[in-house]
Amino acid sequence: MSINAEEISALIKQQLSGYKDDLAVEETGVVTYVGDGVARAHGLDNALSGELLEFENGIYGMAQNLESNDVGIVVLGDCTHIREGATIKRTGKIMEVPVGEEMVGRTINSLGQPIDGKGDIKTESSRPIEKKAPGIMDRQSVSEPLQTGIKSIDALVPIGRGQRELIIGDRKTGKTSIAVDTILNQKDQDMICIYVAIGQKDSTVRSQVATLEKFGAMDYTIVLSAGPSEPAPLLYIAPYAGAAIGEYFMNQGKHVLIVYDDLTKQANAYRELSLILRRPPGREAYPGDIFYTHSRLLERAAKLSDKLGGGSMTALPIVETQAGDVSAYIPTNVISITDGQIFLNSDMFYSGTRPAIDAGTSVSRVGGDAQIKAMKQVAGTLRLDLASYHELQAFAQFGSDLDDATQAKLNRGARTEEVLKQPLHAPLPVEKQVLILFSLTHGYLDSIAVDDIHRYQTELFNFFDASHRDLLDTIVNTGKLPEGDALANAVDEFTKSFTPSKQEETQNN
Amino acid sequence: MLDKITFAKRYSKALYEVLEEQNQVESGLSELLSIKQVFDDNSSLSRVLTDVSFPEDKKESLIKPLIDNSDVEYVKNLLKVLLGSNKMDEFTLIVEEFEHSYNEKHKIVHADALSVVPLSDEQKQKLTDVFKARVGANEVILNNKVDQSLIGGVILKSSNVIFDGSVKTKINNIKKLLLS
Repeated sequence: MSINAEEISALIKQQLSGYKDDLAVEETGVVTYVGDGVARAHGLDNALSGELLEFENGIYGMAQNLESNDVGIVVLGDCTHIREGATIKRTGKIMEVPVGEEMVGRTINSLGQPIDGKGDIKTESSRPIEKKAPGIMDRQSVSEPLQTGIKSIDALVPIGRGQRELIIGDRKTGKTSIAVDTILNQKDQDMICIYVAIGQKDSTVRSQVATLEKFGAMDYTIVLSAGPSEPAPLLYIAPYAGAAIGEYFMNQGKHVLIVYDDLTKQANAYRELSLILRRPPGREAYPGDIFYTHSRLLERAAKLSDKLGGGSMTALPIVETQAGDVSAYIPTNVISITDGQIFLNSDMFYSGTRPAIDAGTSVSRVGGDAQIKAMKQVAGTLRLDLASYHELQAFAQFGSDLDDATQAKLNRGARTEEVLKQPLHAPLPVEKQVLILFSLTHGYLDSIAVDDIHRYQTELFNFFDASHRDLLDTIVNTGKLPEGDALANAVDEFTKSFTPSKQEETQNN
Repeated sequence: MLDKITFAKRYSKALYEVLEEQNQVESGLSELLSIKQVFDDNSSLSRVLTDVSFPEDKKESLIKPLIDNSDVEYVKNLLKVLLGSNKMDEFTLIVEEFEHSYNEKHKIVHADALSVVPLSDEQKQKLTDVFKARVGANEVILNNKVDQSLIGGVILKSSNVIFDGSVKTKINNIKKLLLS
């Protein structure tokens, strides 16, 4: 196909129509210091805090400190080509990221540029990365459930759409896995998921993306990654950029799930910046506004009022602890900001209870309203049962003579723990969670050996899928347990037909 | 430790206030500028004067002609104070700051005009008048420099603001527009 000269000139004319022959007036400054992702510049008398500044070579910076003699600037990019004495210009804009539907399914960096090698992202609009969170009148209380597909979370610490639930635990306790499994379970739930990886190894992010692709979750997910080799300012702004993209969808009345993995590393990046900018260090050398850094970020998660479209943004921030110490600075801060926390215990993780959710210390402060009725009915006593089991377990180790009631409690507890175990990347729909918990709380599992519970569960689900699909559909559609004894009868029927493993039989003999 | 700019600002402010009281600002400024010229011409002078390994009495004898030549008492004192506190390398900065506050007070603006060919006196006068009105200054001191790379037009640089009317920038803007 050839384009003739006339068409080309018409095209050029059209593009040039936007050109205005104005005198370019620019306010400038001179760089006096550059290093460690931070620059200082003289001049720039009228620069505003947070304003975007442009260096000679096209790299951008953000004005952070406005002092009497100079301006402290964080460099958003490679600062090795900036020299002392270089000029720097004001742009009069604040930092923005492109937003739009086109981003879904892509992997981007903190500036919204694609890093997955799938070509340019052509978006129509952009949003400032720092934006004030919705106010009191713009919100409504959290009422719809966000199903994570993980039994122990949906039963014990339910999460609602618009909630902020912290995932906290030591390194290697499955924090990211919980977040990824939650994203996997949002398939066909009309959710947009944003996974913000802050300071995560590029190889890790790569394998997360591969997992998401394998389970078809990239169709509704955006991955935003600021790797450890990026300059600290990009790690610092990554969650705000993610939140800006999430807000775009929320304002369209959609439901958004955003995972910040993890805020400890963002706090470290911000600490680094602040120290180099010579801000006074506070506790653990974090700057004085580290609390505000996190609170203004997490406050942007919201359930919007119906007038604003009723969209929601659920935030799952992740915080890493050192040796289970939740009383360190960043964990206490974020615990107090969020509406509850999921605490992952490394001892439980290594003893095989996975996900290693510590039911005693995990809470959800708003999620109770966001649980479907059927789940409330079957999981109501679960937390108490578990607590008394752990208490009794400690006692039972001393003596062998236990009365029947105690023995029954211990048996139930062991089975509860077994039921709450769940393999990786195998989220369960809510009706099946209700089903297995129903069998547990109504005592159908008491006669099943602990080792058989996993098989029992699989076969129970198959049985219901084949013969009693209507009962499961009732739970999905009404949110309540089926009326009458239908469910109990069906579970009873299955339990009677269940054959224990051979091994168990020989043991019992 | 104070950074250099803050130090220079404090000293120049104090000197300015004291000279203003004595109505000696103008003569003081010309003194300071001529001494600064000496420092600028001999780039190693300020380094030698702050070098701890250089004997103190020789420093004094080096600076003595400068002090003796000066008519304004306070400028003499400034030199002595700086020498005594081993801060002689701050002198040029102090003078720059002093000039800055003088210019601000009298609304004098220094500007560099970059052009491809040297500007004629008439052109300079016209540019000065227009610029005066634009920034609201009483006086504009224009310094014409020749820069071949501009292709055409003029760039005016004044303190922190650049007024760019060069053909080079315009072509670059068109390039950006076409590429986007």
